[in-house]
Amino acid sequence: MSFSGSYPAKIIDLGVVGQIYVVEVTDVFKGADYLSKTSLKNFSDAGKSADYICKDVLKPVSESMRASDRHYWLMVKVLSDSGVVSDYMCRYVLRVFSDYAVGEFLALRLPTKECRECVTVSDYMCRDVLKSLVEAGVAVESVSRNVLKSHADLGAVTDWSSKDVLRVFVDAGKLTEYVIKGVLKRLEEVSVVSDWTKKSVLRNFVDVGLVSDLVAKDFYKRFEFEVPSAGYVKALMGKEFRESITVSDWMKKGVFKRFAETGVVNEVFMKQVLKVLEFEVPSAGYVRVGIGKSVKDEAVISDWLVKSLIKSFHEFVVARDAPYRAITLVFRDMVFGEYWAIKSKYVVLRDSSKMKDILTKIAYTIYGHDVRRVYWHKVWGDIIEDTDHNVKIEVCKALLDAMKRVRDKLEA
Amino acid sequence: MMSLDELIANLESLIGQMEYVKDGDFVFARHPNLFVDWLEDAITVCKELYERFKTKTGTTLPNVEEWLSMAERRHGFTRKVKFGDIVLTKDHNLIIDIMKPLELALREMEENL
Repeated sequence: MSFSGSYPAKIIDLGVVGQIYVVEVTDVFKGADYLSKTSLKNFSDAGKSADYICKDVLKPVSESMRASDRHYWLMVKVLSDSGVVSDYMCRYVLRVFSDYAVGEFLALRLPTKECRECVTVSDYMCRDVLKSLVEAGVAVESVSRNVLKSHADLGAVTDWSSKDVLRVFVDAGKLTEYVIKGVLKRLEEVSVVSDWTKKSVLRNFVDVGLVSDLVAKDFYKRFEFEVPSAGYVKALMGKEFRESITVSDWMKKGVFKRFAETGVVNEVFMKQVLKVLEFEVPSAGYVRVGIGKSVKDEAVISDWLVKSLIKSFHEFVVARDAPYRAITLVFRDMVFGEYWAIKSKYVVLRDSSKMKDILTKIAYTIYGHDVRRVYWHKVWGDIIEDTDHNVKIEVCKALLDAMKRVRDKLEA
Repeated sequence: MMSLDELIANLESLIGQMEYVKDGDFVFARHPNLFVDWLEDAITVCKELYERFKTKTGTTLPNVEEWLSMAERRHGFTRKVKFGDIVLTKDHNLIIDIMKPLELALREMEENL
């Protein structure tokens, strides 16, 4: 188809379409108009309703506002009133406080007054009490003076007593000291005497030795003198020899005499020592207390006087005190050697020991030998005799023989 | 340890050193001390003999055992003295008291052989 031929058709078509659109637009407008009318009406109705509602609402609001305004004013008034009241209350409170302060002041003044009165009363009472105390003090002082006086009197008595007791003690101490000094002095003297005796004995020995030597020399001198002239003076030589022998015999006797004198001196010295020791026995307790030595055997010391010389001699030998030791050493050095003291005691008492066998020793037999056990006896002491020692040797031999016999039998 | 023969020889030697004393002689320390030494070896010898006795016979002797024990126990109480010591009664008596059980032990062993 061509352009010119289709165009009118189209316009026609458009006209148709236009008409349709117009109709539709018209319908739309109509519908819109209707709707607008309806809407306006509705709006109008709604406005009316709203107006009514507004009026109806505004009225309560207005009323409420009025009411609130009233309330506001009431509140303000209340607040104002409360402020007034508060102010009034404050003033009242302040006035009350003020009154209270005044009251307090007054109240304070009253106790002060009462206190002052109390102090006054207390002062009065204090004076009264002080007076009582002073009086009591005076009484106490009086009592204490009496008591002190009594104490002083008692002290004086005690002092006197103590002095008396001390004097007794001092006297006892002096006595003990005197005894100790006496004992020590005696011991010292014994030691000196012992030393002197030792020196004397030794000097005597030396003298005797010198004299003996001199005599011997003299004798040999004479002999030498005589020998060359033996043939010449036979008779004379015999005479001289006789004289020499005589002189020698005399000197021998002299030596023996000196020995005997020495023995006598020893014996005298022994007796002196024994006497001193015997004397010291009763005071041995003091000596021990003074020196501070304990006694080993109480059974032994309980019977001082009975044990007497034996006991003292035992202690003399065993003594641990220095003076005793010194004396013991001097004795031993001077005389013979160990156990001299024991043997001396033994020699002194050996005769009496025969009588006391039954009482102090019990015998029994070992391989046929009578052996004896030794016991202490307060009178005769404990003496181990020479036979006791020798019997023990015999018993040893018998035991050894028995051992050999048994050995031989076992080996057989 | 010494043999039995050596011990017996030693006992003989000790007896040879012992001295007989007489009235008035001095007592020396070696006198009691030699007995103490001798008894120590004697107890050893007796114990050795008893051991040999048991080995040989196969029997035991309770009395001998008791006596040997007694001697050994008593020997423990002995002491040796020295210069300055006192020879006490117990020093002498202990030696005797040791010798007696040794004698009894030897007698019983001898009788049972």
